[in-house]
Amino acid sequence: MTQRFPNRYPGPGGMFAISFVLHLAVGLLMLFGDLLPIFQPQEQPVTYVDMVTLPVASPQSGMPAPATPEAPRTPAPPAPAAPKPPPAAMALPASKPTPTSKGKTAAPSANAKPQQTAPGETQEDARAFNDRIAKLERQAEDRRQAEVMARLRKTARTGMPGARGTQAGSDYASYIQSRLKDALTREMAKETRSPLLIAIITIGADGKVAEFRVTKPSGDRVFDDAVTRAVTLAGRSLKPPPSGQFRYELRFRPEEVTAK
Amino acid sequence: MRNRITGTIVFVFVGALLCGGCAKKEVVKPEETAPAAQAAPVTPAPAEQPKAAEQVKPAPRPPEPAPQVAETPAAEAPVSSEAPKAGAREQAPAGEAAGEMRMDLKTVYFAFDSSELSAETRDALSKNAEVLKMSPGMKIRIEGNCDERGSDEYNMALGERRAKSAKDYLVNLGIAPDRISVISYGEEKPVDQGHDEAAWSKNRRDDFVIAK
Amino acid sequence: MIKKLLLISILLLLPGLCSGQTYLDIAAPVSGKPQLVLAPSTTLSGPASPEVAKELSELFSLDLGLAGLFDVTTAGQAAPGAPLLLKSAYAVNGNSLVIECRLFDQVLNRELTAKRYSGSIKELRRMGHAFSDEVLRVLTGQKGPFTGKIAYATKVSGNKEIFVMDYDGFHPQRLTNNGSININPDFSPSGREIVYTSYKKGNPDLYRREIYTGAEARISARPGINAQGTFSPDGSKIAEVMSKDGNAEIYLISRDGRELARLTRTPAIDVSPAWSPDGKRLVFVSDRLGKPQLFIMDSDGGNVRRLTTEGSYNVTPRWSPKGDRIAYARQVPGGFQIFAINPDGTQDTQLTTSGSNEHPRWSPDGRFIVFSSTRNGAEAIYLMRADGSAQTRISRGRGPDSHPTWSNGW
Repeated sequence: MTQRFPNRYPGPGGMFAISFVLHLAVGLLMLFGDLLPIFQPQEQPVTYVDMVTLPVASPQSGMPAPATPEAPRTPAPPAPAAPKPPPAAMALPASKPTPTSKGKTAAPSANAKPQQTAPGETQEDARAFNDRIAKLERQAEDRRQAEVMARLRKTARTGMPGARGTQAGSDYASYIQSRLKDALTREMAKETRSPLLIAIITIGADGKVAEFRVTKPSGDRVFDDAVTRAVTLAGRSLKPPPSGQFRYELRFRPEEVTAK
Repeated sequence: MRNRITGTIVFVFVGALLCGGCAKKEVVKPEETAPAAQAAPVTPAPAEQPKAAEQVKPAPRPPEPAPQVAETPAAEAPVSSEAPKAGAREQAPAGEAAGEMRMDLKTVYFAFDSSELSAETRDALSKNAEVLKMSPGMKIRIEGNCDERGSDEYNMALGERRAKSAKDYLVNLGIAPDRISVISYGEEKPVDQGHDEAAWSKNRRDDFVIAK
Repeated sequence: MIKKLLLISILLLLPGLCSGQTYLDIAAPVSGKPQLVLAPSTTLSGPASPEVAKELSELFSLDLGLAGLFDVTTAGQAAPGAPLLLKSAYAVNGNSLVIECRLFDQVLNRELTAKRYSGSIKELRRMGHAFSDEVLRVLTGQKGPFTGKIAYATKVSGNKEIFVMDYDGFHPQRLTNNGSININPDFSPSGREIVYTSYKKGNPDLYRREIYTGAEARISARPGINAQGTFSPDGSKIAEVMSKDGNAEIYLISRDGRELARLTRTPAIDVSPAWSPDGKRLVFVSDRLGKPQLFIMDSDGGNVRRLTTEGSYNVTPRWSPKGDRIAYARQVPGGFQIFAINPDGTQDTQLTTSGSNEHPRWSPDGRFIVFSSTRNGAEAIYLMRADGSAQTRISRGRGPDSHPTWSNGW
């Protein structure tokens, strides 16, 4: 076979040799000529567009809602705020009966339509919820009263006869303090170690939060938001001040857990 | 005729391999072949290795010359592609130049976080200095290494300090400074992959490598 | 404490005396975290894709859970009154994907943010991470780090090569492929460039590489070591370690490798430079007092002072992007542990305890520290919050993986 075409065809072995040499030459050329293929990830930037924020009032109408658990679940919490006809469930047993102002308290966006979606369930939830809150409130009230008494005793200061709601140490200020504290406990969130927020609250004669003005933010946005939420939450069910408007300067801060 | 062809194949193949080997050696200095030997083939490997395989495979087809032909590449192919064997290959070219001298350059060892030369280390270095004096043309590279325990960033500098302290000692013994270069591999080139003192003590070392 | 006493005394003494002038103190205990509820992801249009929904939900749970500010739950287990609700919806159309995400405050009853992302279906995780970043931005004022990438060195058939992966370990991609030793990657502030040290030409030299184009320059190849390049916060300069003048010293070079300044001049080893976030100071390691310790100097090399006094072997410092902490590794019996210290030397705190942990690097927002650990055998990449909580393994390969570094978001 090799004999037949001695000059032209070098045989399979020869062909391999030639092929090998050529490959090697190309390989070496690439290697030393820095022609190696280099891994290059493709850049495929996500083109993302800021959404035009539609006038969406409530979480429930935000998107095609996941039908099942959503409806009954979310309405439950804000129940106290809902301008629902049966206010009885929402009465604060611990406090003096002031159901009138309850209905449409703070939440400017109290048009929470979805709350009406499942009245049966919501109501039941709301009742349980209110009972719990009431209990907590009663406890808080007791604690608060004991505290106030202790403080008064300690300072040898007797109660203030004829005190107006605008005065510190008076019943209403402590009431507000206690309500806000409970709400903040629920909403507490913070990112920094010990944020401090100072604000002025004005409560109208109808028991609504007429104004909540932050005079000094804490610098911790998470905490600021928690405070805002707490005030909104507490503001939904406040007794009206005994004597017209109530205005006070507030300091919000997380309680130090233990002395360290 | 067939013999001649197979002869050519073997010749060309071995020649090519040698060329490849030599070429690599020019780019990176000898000891470097450990990483460089892979460095070279890693990317071209897809190109080169399959070829080697082809070469081996067709060889058996013409039955007669097969045994010898097949053996040579089979034995050599892994050498070019596999790291640990690079050392074995390296001895061959080293043999041309420095012969058995290379074997006499002793590795020296250090204590943890130290570049101080112990008495033992100094003895070894003195012997290395004699070897260097006997072959005046020989240049060496001292490679400083550390164990894995220290911080690798700090060890990079510590390895260099170890190499330099050995170099300084050799220079004091009369070796020309320009015959000695140093490099640090920090903790990136351990000889023992273990995680105990036995391994670490082997890794805290200066290797002596013939440059060029 | 003083503040508290003051407050109490004010409360005790002032009531009634000057009405309206006192503060009412509202201090609430920190008990638990506010809930963030993930509503099940729904389809915007087209067929439902359970995989997409599942992946999104897992991704948000992971990201926002790691953030540590919320108690993240999926809808169904939500307690009533969860203040935050995250809704997402998707549309899969062949290879393209659109995601809409919205975050609501259920107490204030308002929408906090809404974004739509579109791209290839392969970008699903990137879109999700982008919204996680956005959630943190809206809630805290500072963007999250989840779209950042992590570069690291890993062993590949006996060599060390640089890889890049998502912060959560997904999508590892190879950057170098030269069969040599490639270590110490560091991202430029843009996140699109790295500097790293490679032995590919024999000597440890410093390379700068554009990640996408692959364009690369050897910017420092002086005799001896050229290593540990670190971009200044504005990206204009690089601090690096060179030994061209005799032993390891810290230098500043320009992006193209021109030497700008030599910062240290000691016969000791000076390594591991790391910038303060304002670029005015550097923390570094020196054994000028015998053992490696951390020192701080101005960026012109002046005003050197010792930072660490505890421990006999403190290395690899990194300044938090917030500037308030410096993370580093200390050698302890059995290996290394990660510590953090204030730049004034106070509050030296141990953050890790199990295995040996090295190479702390901050996430670009300073919320997390990524590091390498041997706690489960081979060295792997982990992350934790800045206070040491939520230690989580992120690299998935066999490893050993080391030298992680976290880029700004892409």
